Amino acid sequence: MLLLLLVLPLLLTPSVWGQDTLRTYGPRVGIDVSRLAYLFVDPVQIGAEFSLDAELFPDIYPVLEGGYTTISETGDLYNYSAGGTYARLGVDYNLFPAEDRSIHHTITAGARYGISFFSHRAQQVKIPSNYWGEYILDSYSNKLTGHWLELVGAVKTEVAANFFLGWSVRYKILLNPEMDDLVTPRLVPGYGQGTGERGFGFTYQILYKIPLLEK
Amino acid sequence: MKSGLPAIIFLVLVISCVTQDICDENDQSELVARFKNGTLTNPDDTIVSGVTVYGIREGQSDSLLYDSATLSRIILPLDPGHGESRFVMTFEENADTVRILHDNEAYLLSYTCGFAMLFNIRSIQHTSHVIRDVELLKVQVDAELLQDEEHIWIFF
Repeated sequence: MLLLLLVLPLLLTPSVWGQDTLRTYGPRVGIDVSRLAYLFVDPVQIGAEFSLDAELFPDIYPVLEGGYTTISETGDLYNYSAGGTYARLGVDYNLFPAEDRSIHHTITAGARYGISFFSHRAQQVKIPSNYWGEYILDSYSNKLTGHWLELVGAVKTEVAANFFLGWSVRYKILLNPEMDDLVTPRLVPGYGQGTGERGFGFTYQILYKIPLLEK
Repeated sequence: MKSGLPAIIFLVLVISCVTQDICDENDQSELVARFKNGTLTNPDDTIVSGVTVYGIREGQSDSLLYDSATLSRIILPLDPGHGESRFVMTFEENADTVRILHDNEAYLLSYTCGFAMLFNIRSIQHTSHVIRDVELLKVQVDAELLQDEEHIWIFF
């Protein structure tokens, strides 16, 4: 299934070749549909992510990504929740520009700087003491800011005029893993598990390019 | 490739079970008190006999931590529910009370093991029937007890 999704953009490509001889330019908006997969894989996590990019210079695509993620878990020892918004700003570079002007597929390498404003909270925290007896802390909460860098490899294919499918893989480096001395966040929105100073990410996008200019 | 995917799924399930269910970390935050003779500038390790220790637990029956033991150090659990822990220490016939005042902060050991208490010792008070002095060496007491860690020295 996953393999099919990855190959799908490539299988669909011949149908749009040669449809438009003019090259269109404009901002491209996308949503990350892989977030929906979290509902099955990790149902405690809910989120949405969009992206905005444009080919401002030949083969160079400045990118803004933004999103929102929450997580909520209940357990025997404590209940935990975290949530907040994030943004990633960066640029993609098209490694294999097509000579045919009607082909808009890209294979890009890029980088991002990510920042997340979020809060996390533990409630009904059981603190064991064999001698004094268990103590239950009502609530621990903290507002945090996370920073990270990403290296991004991505493929985007135009499957119908101005409609794209694409996926990306990301290597992430958390810049401030010590953001909370007492409780390492289970989730840094947009980054992933706060316990890892390095991480991997994946997106699968549906994108639409608003054809403002035709050249 | 066909047989690879179920194998990977199986492996992921096994790994996630193993990492989620087992907690082998210590979650008790305890203070180590070593017995000393001499002075602070010239301390000597000493072994004390007939040591009996219990904590003063409000509303609960006394429970001995040590009973007529011969020791060079004692390990005292601190009370996560209050800002102080009080202990009665009897050496042969004579008893002293030691009162340890602390600030408490909960911290996460790991997602599997949950939380433990980080104690910051503010001060220590004691009666002086047998105990001559108490010296605070290390202010922080957490659930990670290191080899040869010492928090206080009790002088006789």
